[in-house]
Amino acid sequence: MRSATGAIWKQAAMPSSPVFWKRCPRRRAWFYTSLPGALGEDGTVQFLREVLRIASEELRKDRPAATVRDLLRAELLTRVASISDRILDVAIDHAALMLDLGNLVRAALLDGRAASRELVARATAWEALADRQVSAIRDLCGHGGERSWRGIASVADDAADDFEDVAFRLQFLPADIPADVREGLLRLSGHAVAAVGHYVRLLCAVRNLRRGSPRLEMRAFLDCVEKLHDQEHATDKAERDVFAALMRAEVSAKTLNLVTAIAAGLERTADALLRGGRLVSDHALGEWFAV
Amino acid sequence: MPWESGLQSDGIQIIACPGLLPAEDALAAVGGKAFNLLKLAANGFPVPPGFVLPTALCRQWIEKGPPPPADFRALIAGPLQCLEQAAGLCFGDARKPLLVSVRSGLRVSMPGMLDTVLDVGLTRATLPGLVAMTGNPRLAWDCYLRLVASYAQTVRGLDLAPFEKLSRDAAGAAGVAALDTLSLRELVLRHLALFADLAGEPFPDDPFQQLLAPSMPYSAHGIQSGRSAIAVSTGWKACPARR
Repeated sequence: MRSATGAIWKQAAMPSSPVFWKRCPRRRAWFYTSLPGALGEDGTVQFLREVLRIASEELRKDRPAATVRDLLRAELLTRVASISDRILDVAIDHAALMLDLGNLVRAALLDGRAASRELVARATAWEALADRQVSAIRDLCGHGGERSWRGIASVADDAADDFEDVAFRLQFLPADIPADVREGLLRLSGHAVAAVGHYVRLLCAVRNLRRGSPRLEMRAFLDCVEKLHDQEHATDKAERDVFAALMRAEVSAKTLNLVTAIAAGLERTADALLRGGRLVSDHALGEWFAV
Repeated sequence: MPWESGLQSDGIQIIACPGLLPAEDALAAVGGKAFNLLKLAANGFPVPPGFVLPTALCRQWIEKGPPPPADFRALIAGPLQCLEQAAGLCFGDARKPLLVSVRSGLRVSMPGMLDTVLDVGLTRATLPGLVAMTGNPRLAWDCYLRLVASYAQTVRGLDLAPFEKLSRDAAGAAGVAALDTLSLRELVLRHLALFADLAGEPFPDDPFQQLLAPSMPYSAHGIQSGRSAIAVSTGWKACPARR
């Protein structure tokens, strides 16, 4: 079974391989995509396993080829998500990587020592992976109404860039910075990480908004947008607290410059996520009103 | 609602009833772990809501065989509803899934000899709900990884070494914590495939099936006739993740 699935997988993943029509319900349009493009890698393997099972079982029962074909079509239709669902999946993956980056920065601050080279290298790799998710979203967008996800992903990705930049700068942070400055940075990073969590919830709420009961889902969705606003305000305040603590403390010009840049980077992440969240909100509400 | 009384039909005991001290002879009926949880809850300490399948039920299942899934589902319907009400979540629900830890208990303490299966109720259908509730995809996949490993070991009696090798190959010496969320998800999918290969059947994707198996008196350590099974809410809420 595994080798058979592997052989079909190779065919299905090839860009020039036979592809199937895929319907995007909202746009009432049909276009080509590969199996992995529509189902994801995991979904493709599961589907191909199911294809082999159905085909072998039904052919053993001497069912006509046309019946087997219909069964396989039905199986495919139950699994094919719309392109908008697929974009949302990748957007959540993108947000998950931003959360990883935020938690990495926070772990470095909690550690109380300068960030290690390994940590900085990990942050660089994760940021590059986040960039690839943005590219994947762009590829999926096409020219339809999902085009706005290009802008959303690019704007939100600024948060990933800023987290990575902060991780880089943290390797130069001296261990003996004043306690209230370190506590301020920790609080600030906590707010930035919380903002990513709310951004993830917002993306999940978009999915529910499409499928669920309108009033409750709309309330949950708007609640996520409001929480992103709250986190942005909280990071603004926390950044100023760090600056005030720096002004009270006796620190070198080098440390002053470094801590200010780190705090500004963390504050910018919440800004980017709020901007991204607003764009998500505009897009989702536009779709919702259009239905 | 029997929630107030703490005791349900078939001797199933609800945990988290403030002011309701368990009877002294309850130790033999529910095992030491559950007995202590009942006492803590009675004295007002914050104990996660849960319920206990008593040792008598365990003995009954050994004598007469495990109940059919439908009977088991009917048996735990009441206590599970209590748990759902207390947690504000719903077992098997795609939006707000309730996860439970299933633990074993005996009258006497046997460290390391009793089974625990964590995050029961997590399936492909409920996982997106956990992500939406916690805002943390990594946490959801990490829970799934733990569920597969603990289920493989305690319910199916599978050797954990191949699973650990997969994790080592994926994450190296730095451990799973060094993986990004997407790589962690890949690792979980590989664990699921390995489970299917070793167990000869796919990992159960039905939350009730997941709950039934670890509640049975047959474990990787053999039959424990005096065993109770405790299902405790893991405490994932719709607001900041906390265990």
